[in-house]
Amino acid sequence: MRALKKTSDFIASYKLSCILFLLLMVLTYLGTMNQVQEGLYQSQQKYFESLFLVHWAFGVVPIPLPGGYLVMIVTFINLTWGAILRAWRGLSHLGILIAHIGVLVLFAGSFVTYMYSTDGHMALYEQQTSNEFESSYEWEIGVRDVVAQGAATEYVIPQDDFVKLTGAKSRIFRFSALPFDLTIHGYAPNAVLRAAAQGETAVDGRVLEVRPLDREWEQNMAGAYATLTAKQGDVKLEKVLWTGTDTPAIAAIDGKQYRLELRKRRWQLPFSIRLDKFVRKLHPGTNTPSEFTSDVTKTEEGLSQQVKITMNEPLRHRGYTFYQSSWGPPNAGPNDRLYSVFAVVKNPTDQVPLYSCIITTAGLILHFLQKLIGYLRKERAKRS
Amino acid sequence: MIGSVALGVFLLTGLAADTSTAPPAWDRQTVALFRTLPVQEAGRVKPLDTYASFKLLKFRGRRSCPGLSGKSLSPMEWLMDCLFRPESAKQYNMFRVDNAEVIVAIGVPAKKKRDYYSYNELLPGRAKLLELGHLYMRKEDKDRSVVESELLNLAMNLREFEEITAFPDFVRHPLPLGDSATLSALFPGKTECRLSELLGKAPQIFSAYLELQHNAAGKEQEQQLLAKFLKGLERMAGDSTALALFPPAAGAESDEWMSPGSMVERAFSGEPLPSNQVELLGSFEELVAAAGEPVAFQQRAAAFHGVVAGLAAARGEYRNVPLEVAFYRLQFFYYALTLYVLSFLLLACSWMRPRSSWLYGSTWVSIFVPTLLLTIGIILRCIIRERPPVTTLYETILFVTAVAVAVALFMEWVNRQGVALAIASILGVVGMFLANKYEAREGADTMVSMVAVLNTNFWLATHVTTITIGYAAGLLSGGLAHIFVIGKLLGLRRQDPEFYRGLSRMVYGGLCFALLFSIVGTVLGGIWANESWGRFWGWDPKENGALLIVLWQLAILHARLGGIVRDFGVNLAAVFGGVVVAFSWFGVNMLGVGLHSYGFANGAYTALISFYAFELLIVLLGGIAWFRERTETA
Repeated sequence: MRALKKTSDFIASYKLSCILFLLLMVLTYLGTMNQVQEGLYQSQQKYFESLFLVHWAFGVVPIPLPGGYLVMIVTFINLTWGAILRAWRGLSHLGILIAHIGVLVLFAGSFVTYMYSTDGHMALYEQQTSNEFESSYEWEIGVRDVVAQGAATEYVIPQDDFVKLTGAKSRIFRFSALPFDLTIHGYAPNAVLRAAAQGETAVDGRVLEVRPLDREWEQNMAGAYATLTAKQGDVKLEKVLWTGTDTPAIAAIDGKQYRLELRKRRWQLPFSIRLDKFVRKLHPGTNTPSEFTSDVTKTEEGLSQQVKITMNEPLRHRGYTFYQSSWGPPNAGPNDRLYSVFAVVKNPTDQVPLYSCIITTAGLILHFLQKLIGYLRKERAKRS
Repeated sequence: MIGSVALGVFLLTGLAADTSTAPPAWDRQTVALFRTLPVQEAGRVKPLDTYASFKLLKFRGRRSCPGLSGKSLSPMEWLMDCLFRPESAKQYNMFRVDNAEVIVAIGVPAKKKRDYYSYNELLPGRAKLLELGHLYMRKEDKDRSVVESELLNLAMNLREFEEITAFPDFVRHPLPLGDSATLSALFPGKTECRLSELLGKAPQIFSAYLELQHNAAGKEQEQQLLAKFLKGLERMAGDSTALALFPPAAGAESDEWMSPGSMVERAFSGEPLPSNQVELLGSFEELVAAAGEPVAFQQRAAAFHGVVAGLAAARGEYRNVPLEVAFYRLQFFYYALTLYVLSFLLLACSWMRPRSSWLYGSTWVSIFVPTLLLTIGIILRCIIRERPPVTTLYETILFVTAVAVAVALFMEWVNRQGVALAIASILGVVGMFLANKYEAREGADTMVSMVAVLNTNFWLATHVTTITIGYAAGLLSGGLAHIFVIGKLLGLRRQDPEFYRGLSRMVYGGLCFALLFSIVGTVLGGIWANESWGRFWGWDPKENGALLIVLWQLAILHARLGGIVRDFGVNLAAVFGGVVVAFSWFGVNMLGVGLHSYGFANGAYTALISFYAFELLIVLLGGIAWFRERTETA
């Protein structure tokens, strides 16, 4: 029983809070500095979105560390348990209680965001319409019948299922409706497709050459090999998939053509967006942008509505939010046709940080005001 | 390319130098007219005075330049000399060189290690300077040595000076019309004509040229003559781009002000040129032509100013120009620095006579006055820019200083131990010194155009202001904690534990204040990011920096609550908090990655590392003092 109480006290203790704050500081610092070498995405994966990690100090000394997730989960427990044990300590601590509730709300909201939000982008030229958006980081493999346009079902393999299939590792994917089994192997998160040299094992005369990961994750071009084994007969086809090309791999089996595509993960929207006009304004005589604005038409079940999306003024609809995020091509001249890029986010707890901020602020102001008034009184009493 | 163009300028203007006499001083009224003449630069309409003062600051590191008579010239007088008396301006010692190695490298006799050089002094080494400058320009910032960076700077400054002095050359050296029949028909009886006249007939010249291009049969010679003339015109125009002095009419589609160079480019690419701009150019030509006659010059300056200011006013771009001139003329931040230094001297005196209430009161006033100046300066900047107080790294320095000093004054008002007053004075000196240094180092207008995402006064006013108040409070607590740590280290006031307790209460209060603003500021930043980009938190270095501040302050306050640290520990931690704030404020910007690498403050790296090292040393020594105290009490 005493051991239990001791454990409970430790879980709720300030000591544990301090350890966690310091650990999170170390992770934040390392994760920031690491961005110089490895870029944002990889640093984020390694230091913040992980349970454990090994940091190589000066590139030679391995230091095992708990990852950002683990530390944040334990912080959440520490905070919650501490709040329960010390919840009511009178009016003088009301502000502190409120502030901590605000932080708990932020944690809860962030957890929901992490679990249930999707985010990606949609790039449109003027007059172009789309009802899907794609991820900026995640890949997927899509397989479908080429001929049956539109109506055909597409079979999708999510990234988690093939991301570990590097080198000689492979995995067989079976779809009951397809006349073949699909084996994915030789996955590389960054690769180039080149003509094979003499003696190399090639697919259609080409090989994937594995490249080191780019600092900018968006620059990476994933690639993988796919082996299609017919369920009947002994047809076996080898295909190479690469995200750097616009032409998907086509395989013919049983007299039908199938399309295989390694691409950024896609999501369908319950409505469509057409870009009517994109305006990019510069500060006069400079290359500093002063404004990006997209006039779009949103169409849902035959009903159209015109909306303006600009920096800091997103379009919100049916849980999706469209932000003016970028434009291209990056090297466009003054008369070139431009496309507009929207960040598309579906986040059920989008506004939670705002509520949390209000609650925390109110709590802290209340608490510190109480403290300040007490301090002022004491000082005055001392002088008089 | 740069070399050949500049060589042309040199041949045109550089040979006929008259070094014997100093030119008479400019008439005060004329100077005043030029000061408030609006010009568009870097996307913003500003007074010519601002342009002049930042150029001089960039070249010379200060806002004044000795003239030939030995009298100091104001930035505007200096710019007027550059434009209208280039031969005198070329003799001014206006290029600051911090390292004589640069001068040696270009084969020019060096003066002192750090000295000022005139254009004419650098002229023999010009070709070498530009050649090396070109070479170093191709290197990445971080790969350049100090000398290489300075040489590149000097090369760019020299070129910029040449562009400024060459700006009115199109008036001083009109282009000969040559033997082209087209031009003779358009300008009968003339051998040369003004640019404004040429631009007035640009459509005819341009269509004649196009026609000859399509059908040159039998007119090959005329085609060549006209092409040669146009090429000469293009070259001449290319030298006159330094100042966008000619505003478009109110309601015009483009907001871009024009220089003679851009007018030529536009007129001869077939786009129509508004007639008012051509007239305005004519009026500017008359102004330049009258440069040697003070009375006529002033009249023409007044006429030109009247039209340009009127056009700008009609476009709503003149409103804050006179205010901006006044703002820079009054030099709020320079005087604030001087007065803070004075306050520090007074403070030192009051330490020697601790019981003098007269000295104590004077110190109060001596800190209050510069803080007031600083505050007025910040408010005027807000009015001029129509923006909240903090939008650039430079403005964070001003704002952080003002907030830190104001909070320290409040603490002093409550606590009256004189400690907060000392810190207020020191922070004032350091802050204003940094601000002035930063401005001189950058040598560029600090009221810059904002990128699109900052196009919102709401978030700038809330997030940026809050987070900077957090920085200020964090630094203030760190500053106060220094007194505690150093006092303990030197064994000062050993018999006065109440002094240290009072000090610790202030540090603690400062930390609470800092935490409130750091947390709220950080979360507000996330909310803004969510509104603009759709993500609350993206592990961007600047976000992480803010998080580090929050975490450290949380750690200190929780450690204090849990009895893990006491007064000494809180103070040591607060000193280290200063390092965390500095990392978040400046350090992360130097990583060169992320969304906030806006203020890549070159050369500040060494200063920052020295600050870290110094603070860590204080923490280390403080740790030793703490250990000593503990063993003594045990």
